[in-house]
Amino acid sequence: MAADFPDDELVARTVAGESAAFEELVRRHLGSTFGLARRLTGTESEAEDVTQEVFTRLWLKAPAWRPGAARLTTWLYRVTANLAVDAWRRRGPAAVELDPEDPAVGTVAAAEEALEADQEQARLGAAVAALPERQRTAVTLTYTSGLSNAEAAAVMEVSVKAFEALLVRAKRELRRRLADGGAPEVSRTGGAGAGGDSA
Amino acid sequence: MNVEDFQDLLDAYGPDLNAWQDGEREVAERLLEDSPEARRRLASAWELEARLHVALLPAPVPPGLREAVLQVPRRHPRASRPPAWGWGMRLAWGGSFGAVLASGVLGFVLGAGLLSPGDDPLESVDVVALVYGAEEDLP
Repeated sequence: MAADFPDDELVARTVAGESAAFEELVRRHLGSTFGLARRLTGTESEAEDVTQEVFTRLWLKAPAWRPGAARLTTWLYRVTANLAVDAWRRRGPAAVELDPEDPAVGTVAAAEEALEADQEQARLGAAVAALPERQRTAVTLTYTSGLSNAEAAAVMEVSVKAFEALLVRAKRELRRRLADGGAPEVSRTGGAGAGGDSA
Repeated sequence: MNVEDFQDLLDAYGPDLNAWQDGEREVAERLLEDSPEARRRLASAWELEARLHVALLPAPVPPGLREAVLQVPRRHPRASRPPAWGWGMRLAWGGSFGAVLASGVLGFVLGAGLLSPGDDPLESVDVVALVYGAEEDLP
């Protein structure tokens, strides 16, 4: 049964032509890949494009996979984050789809029509969306993908200390914005005056 | 450790002190005993943690995406593609050309005297990389 195999084995079986192995990889990782892409791009349509591209690359590059060299999820999340950030840069956050049903990407305008609790969540979602790019990626990997600091640092190809510094700066900025209560200002570079984004 | 140090650790490691390293946790627990402000920061960190988890819940997969992804092998049949990945395919497709090129490279290296005593010889992996190129982003 494909469901019993580890990722490395499924990749090898995918290369060998077992369609069930690729289907199992999709079943296992589609949700987390799309979830990360959705949070990082801000739009469902772009997240779908990113997700399809990630699995296309997985399919095409599977023959080069070296079992044991890294976790497949690290590679999947890294490619997802890179593609999503590229999409964000190309389009800019101004065109983010506004879904009032989704507090994670809600805006202040949407939140004004919601209950108070939803307003708070909407402001937090908007504040996260307004973080500088790498801080936003760090927060999203932690809270959407549920990665440990070490795992997320590997995805972002930075040291654990550098990743934790991104988290510290991100949360400091989130607290400041939530305390201010104002709408975050976003820019194409993802910067919101949060004091830098380097890791 | 002062309150600001404690805040940085809360932001970096999260508010669950059980997940911290022993030494830092013990120092933090002593600070919490003495500092009402530290206790307030810890409570606030738990609140932000909970709110971030809710705000950033993974989005549900839209209908149709799974089927579209499952069509990837059909849309991109590997057998008809040029040998972009994998040593096996590269050797199979480009072995002859690679052998000629490798001979040329080796001849150049020997001719230039780079393998004379005292010099670092080229690693075999370097020659291979010269001939076939380096792998991309897969480990």
